[in-house]
Amino acid sequence: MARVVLSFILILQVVAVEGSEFQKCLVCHENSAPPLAMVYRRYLMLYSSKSIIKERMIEFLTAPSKKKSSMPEGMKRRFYPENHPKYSLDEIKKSVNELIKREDIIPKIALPK
Amino acid sequence: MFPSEKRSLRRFLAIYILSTLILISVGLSIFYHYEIHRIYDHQYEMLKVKSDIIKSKLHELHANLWGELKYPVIKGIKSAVYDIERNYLIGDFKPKKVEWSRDLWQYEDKIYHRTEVYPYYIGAATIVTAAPIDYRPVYALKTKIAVALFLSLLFAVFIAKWLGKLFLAPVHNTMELIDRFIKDTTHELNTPISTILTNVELFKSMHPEFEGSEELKRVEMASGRLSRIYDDLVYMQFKHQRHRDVESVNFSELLRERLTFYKTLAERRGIKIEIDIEDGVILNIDREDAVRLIENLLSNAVKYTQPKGVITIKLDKKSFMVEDSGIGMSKDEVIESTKRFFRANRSEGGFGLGLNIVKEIVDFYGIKFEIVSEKNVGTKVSLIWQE
Repeated sequence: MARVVLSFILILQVVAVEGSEFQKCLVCHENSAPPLAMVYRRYLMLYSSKSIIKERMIEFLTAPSKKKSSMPEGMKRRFYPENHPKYSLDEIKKSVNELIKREDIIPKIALPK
Repeated sequence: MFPSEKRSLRRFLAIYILSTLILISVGLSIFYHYEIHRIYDHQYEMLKVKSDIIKSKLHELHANLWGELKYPVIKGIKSAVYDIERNYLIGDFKPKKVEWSRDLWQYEDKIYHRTEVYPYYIGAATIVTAAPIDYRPVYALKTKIAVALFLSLLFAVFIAKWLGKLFLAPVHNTMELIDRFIKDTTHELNTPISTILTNVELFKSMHPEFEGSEELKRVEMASGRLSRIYDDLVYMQFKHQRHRDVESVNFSELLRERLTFYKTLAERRGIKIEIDIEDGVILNIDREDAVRLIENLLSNAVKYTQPKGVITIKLDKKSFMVEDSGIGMSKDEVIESTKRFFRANRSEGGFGLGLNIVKEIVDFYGIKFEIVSEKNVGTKVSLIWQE
């Protein structure tokens, strides 16, 4: 029952966030779901290139399911919501692009002088 | 040491040293390749170890979600990482060339190592590491090989000389024996030949009635032939000590003078001599050498021409030619004919010194010497001093 209520609240929050598609992701991933930095690192570790990561993320978000999730099993069991929100393909693409841009690790690595 | 011995020793040395050099070179080349691989393998191994360190550092970097991210730097090497689609991600250098089909390679004084990574920490699917080639062990190896080659060659020369002398010792002894025998024979021939010739002349003056007798002529010819053999032997023995008195010699006159004797000899053997001598042919030559040239060529022609054969003698301002219709020689015999002790026909007398002496003389004066011969047809010997 608590899960249903929590999901309802989250959906309401998502609907309330206007303008940025990516902000909708953050509603959960900055609160109850694993941080997006961690999600991106997981994808990075599994798929290496940005284009493949993008492909896999879009594939998942288009029809989200626990089975298709790339996160570790333990994490899925603990954090995967009963109803992952669904978005339009356009929204998904924009969000994924922004996610990759924001979480890209390479520009954050300092090179030796 | 005799010239032929020296020649043989030189040939033996050349063959022995060359074959030893080839053998040593092959051995050293195999050693060099083995060692050079070992040197580079060692450097590659070091690079591999450092690649593993980079790999573990990338793992740490990937796990660091909130802290400061610093690219791992390892002293002595440079590294770069690529994603699975071979896009350059990051590194403390960007390789000019990556050989994706190989794990190890060399390029512009650097050795490279490529290692594949999974899981793809920070997205890295491939780590390429590079280090400058350490040439010091290569130079040390090259020096070692050069020293080994030099010492081996020195040793080979020493062994070859020792072996050569060892093998040539019996030949040397035999040749020394022959040489001594010829010297002694020459010395012993001198007195009896002089005695015979002097006494023939004395006899002729004392008994003029025997001047034209056949028996006396035979004695004269036989002793004359002995005398020429003696002269040839003396020439061979003392050719290096003899002083050549080069002067203008009227070769036409000298040839006519010498022909008087050979004409008689040829007539007695039923050989026809055709003569075409141009007057006033002057050569700058030692008179004794000119005599040896004429005597040897005429003597050979008479000796090897069958009865009823023809000898053609031609002299002009440019050349001197003696052609006979004798036994002739094969191509191999022509090549051998100027060597010492060569005889075309064992049944004929002589020591086989004639053409050898002629060759020595023409070589000294730079006269062109040609022998054209056909077996059972005849031989044509030409001396050409002016083109």
